[in-house]
Amino acid sequence: MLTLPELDEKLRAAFASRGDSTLFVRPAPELRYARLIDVIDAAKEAGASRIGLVSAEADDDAVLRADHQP
Amino acid sequence: MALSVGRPRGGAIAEINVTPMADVMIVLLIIFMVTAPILARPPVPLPTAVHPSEHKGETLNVVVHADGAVTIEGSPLGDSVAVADYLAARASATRSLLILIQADRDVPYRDLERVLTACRTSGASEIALATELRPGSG
Repeated sequence: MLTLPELDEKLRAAFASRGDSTLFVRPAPELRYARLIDVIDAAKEAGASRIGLVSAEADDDAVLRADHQP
Repeated sequence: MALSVGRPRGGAIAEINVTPMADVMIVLLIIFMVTAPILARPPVPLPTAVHPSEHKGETLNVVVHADGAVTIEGSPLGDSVAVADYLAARASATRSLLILIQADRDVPYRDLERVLTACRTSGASEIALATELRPGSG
């Protein structure tokens, strides 16, 4: 677990060494939304150019898609 | 592209293939945090941020309440399937307008994720998360 200042430090180091500042965030389901915004905001502060939200659990998505197929 | 100028046919192409990343994880969306004039009196308490962009154009507003309930343009929608149906039925607005997610700062991410997934599967082209500018950071 990182504090926001520690996250800032890690992201700056990672972006500098990779030459790319795209970040993917996978929030825990129970995470309070305001905390997610804090993390996104911290990532922007650290220089993230693009931030993507990802989900590794495709089940809900698959169900939703299946419901909408003719 | 500038990279191909003067390069013989069949020469190396300096592009990074990001496909494997997309295979492993479902990318819900590339997110933008925005503040908008319409948010002078937001329907729910929004989270605050230091680095939101400003958006002045028209938006399609999706409100996510603290208990996970969703309303779009004042219409209460029962679940994420109803949200997807609502957006799909307004395909031209969904595809042309910025979908502005106004989520309560206390909502658990799982409720927000359902709405984001519904927006994505119904063809939304641009989705942004509404925030308020943190006082003292402007």
